[in-house]
Amino acid sequence: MDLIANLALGFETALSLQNLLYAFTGCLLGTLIGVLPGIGPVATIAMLLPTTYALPPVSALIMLAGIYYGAQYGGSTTSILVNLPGESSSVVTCLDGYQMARKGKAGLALAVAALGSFFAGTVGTLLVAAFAPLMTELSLSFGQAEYFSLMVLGLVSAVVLASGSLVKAIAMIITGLLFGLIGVDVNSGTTRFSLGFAEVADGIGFVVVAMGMFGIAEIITNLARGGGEREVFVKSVTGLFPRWTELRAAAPAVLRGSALGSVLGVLPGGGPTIAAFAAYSLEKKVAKHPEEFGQGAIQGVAAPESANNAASQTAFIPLLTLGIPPNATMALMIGAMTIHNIQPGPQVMTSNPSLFWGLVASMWIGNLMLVILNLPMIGLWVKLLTIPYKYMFPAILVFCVIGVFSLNNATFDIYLMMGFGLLGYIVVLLGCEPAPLLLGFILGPMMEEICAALCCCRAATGRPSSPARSPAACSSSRRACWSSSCCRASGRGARRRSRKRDRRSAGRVASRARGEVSAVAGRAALEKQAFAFIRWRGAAVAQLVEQRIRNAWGRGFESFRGTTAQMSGRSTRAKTAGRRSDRVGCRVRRLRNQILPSPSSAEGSCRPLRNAWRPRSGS
Amino acid sequence: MLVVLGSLGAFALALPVLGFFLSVALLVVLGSLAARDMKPAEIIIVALVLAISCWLVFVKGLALPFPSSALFG
Repeated sequence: MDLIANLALGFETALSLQNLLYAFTGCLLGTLIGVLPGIGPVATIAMLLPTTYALPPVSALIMLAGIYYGAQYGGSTTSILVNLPGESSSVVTCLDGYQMARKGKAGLALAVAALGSFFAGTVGTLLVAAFAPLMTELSLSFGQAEYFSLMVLGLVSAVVLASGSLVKAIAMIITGLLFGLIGVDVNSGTTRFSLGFAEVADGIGFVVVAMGMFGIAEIITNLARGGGEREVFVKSVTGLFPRWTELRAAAPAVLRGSALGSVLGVLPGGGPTIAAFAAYSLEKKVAKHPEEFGQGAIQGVAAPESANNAASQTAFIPLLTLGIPPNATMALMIGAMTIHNIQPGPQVMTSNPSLFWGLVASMWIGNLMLVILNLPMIGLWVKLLTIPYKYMFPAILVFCVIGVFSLNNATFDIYLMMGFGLLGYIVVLLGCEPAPLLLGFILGPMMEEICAALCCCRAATGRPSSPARSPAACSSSRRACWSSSCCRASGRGARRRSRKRDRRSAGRVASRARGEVSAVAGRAALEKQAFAFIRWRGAAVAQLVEQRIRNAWGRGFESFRGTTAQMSGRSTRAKTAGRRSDRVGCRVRRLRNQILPSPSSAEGSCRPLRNAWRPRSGS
Repeated sequence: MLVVLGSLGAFALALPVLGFFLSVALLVVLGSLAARDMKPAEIIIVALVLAISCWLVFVKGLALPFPSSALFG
C-alpha cells in the first residue's frame, strides 16, 4: 500500500542519527520552554529560525516541529504542579490538574497527561500520514479564489475563536493587516508606510513582530506584575505509573480529546488552545458526575492534554498540503521552509517526499521521546521550575535580541522589536490577544497578492476567474481589493456585477437568471475591460492583444475566449466557459420568454444569436 | 517596562561599539535592573554566565555573524 511505502521512506529518513539527534533536541527544547512560563513555542521557533539556516531542511523542520509539540507536553507539567500554565493550551489543565496535585495525585495526573498526549500524538500522526495525500489532491484543484477564501476563513475563525471580546479581536487582525501593508506594494512598486526607512522596504520580518509581541511583551508583563510566591508540589511526585482502573477511567476522555483535537487542529484559526478548551467543555457535558470537574477529575486532565497534542500534530496538515498556516507557529514554519528554498504548497509532497514523510515519521518518534522525557525525568523539570524568574528573563531577553539581530544583521530590527514589544504590552494591557495580530500580519500580504492576481484575470477576461464555483470568493475578494490599480481599471463593471451578485434572492432560478444576465452583460463589458487592461499593461502587449481581439472578433467569440484564456493560462475552463456562455445566452432568452411571452418566440427555439450581438458602449 | 525597552535599545547601540560579548553583558545588567529584587552581585554573575554561554553557543558554536566591535576589533 502506498501509505506503508511512504511511511517506510519516512522512517528511513527520520531514523538517521542526525535527524534523531535533532528530534531529540527539538523535543528537549520544546519541553523546556513548555515548562518555563513566559516563553512559548512561537518565540522559541522565531529565535531558532535563523540558526537552522545551516542545517539541512529536513533536520531543521524536524527540530522546529519537535519544539512545537514538545511544548504541549511540557506545558502540562507546570499546570499540574504549579497552577501556572506553561503554555496557553495548558490553561485548562490547571483547573483539574492542580487540584489533583493538591490531593496528592500529582504523579497520576502527570502520567495520564503524558500517556494521553502520546496516544493523541500517534492518532494525529496517522491522520497526517493518511489524509495528507488526499488533501494534496484536493488542494491541487484549488484556484486562487479558493486560497483567498481559505485565508479569509482563517482570519474570521481567528476572530471567532479568540477568547475575549469580538471587537478587540477584529481590531487586532486589522492592525496586523495594516502592519503587513508596510513595504513595497506588489502591483505598483511604491513603498508604503515606510516612513523613509529603507530597511522596511521588504516589509517587517515576522520574526521581529513575533519576538516583540510574544517575547518582549511577555517579559514586560511578567515583570510589571511582579513575581509572586508559587506553591510547587515537588515532593509528592510519586506513583507515576497509573493503575489499570485509573487508565480505564481516563481512556474514553483520551479518545474523545484526540478526535476533537485532530479536527480542530486542521481548521485555520484553531490550534491546541482551542482544542483544549473544547475538549474540556465536551468532557464536562458528557460526564456522569460533572460536579467533579474543577475538583480533580481525571478526565479533566486527560481530555485537554490529548486534544492539544492531537491539534498540534494535525496543524501540520494544512501547512504541508496547502501551504496555508492555521496558526502563528505554523506561519513560522512556513518561514523556515522558505529559508531553505522550499516553496510551501501542494507540491511539497511530490517534489520533496523524503522531507514530507520524514517529518511525519519523526513526529511519532518525537512523541515517543517525549513520553520518555516527561515521565521518568520529571524530577529534572520540576527542579527547573524552582528557578526564580529574575534569573530567567535576562536569558530570554538575550535570546530574543540575538535571534532578531542574526536575521538581517541589522540593529534596526532590534529597534523594531522594541517597538513591537511596547505595542504588545499595550495590547495585553488593553485586554486584547496578540495572536490574531500576527495572523493578520502574515495572511494580509498573501491575500493582497492573490487579490491582485484575481483582479488582473478579471480585467483580462472580463469575468471572474472561477464564476460558478465560488461566487462568495469572488465577491469577497472584490470587496477586499482596495489597493490594486488593476481594480481601478476594471472597477466599475465588476462592482456592478458584484452588486448584482450580492443581491441574490432566495429563489435559485431568479438568482441564476440574474447571474447569467450579469454574465451576458459582462460580455458586453468584455471589450471595454480588455482595452482597460491593455491601457494598464502597456503599449507593446497592447498591440498584440488588440490584434488578437480583432482577429478573434472576426472569427467568433469562442476563439477569442480561447486566446485570452491562454494568455491567463486556463484554456480548458475558458473553452467550456465559452460554450457555457452560449448556453447562458440561450437560457436567458428562454427565461425572458417565460416572463414576458412574446408572440414571435416559440417554445424551445434557442439558436445562439451570436451574429446579432453587438458590444454596447455603456453597459 | 521602560527599563527593558531601554536595555534593548542600549544593546542595539552598543553592539557595533562594544562588540558582542560586552553588549550582551550590558543588556543583562540593564535588564536586571527591571527586576527589583536582584542584588548587584547576582546581576554581575548572571551577566557573566549568560554572556559567556551566549558567546560560546552563538558565535563559536553556530557561527552567527556579528559586527566586529569598533573598540576591540
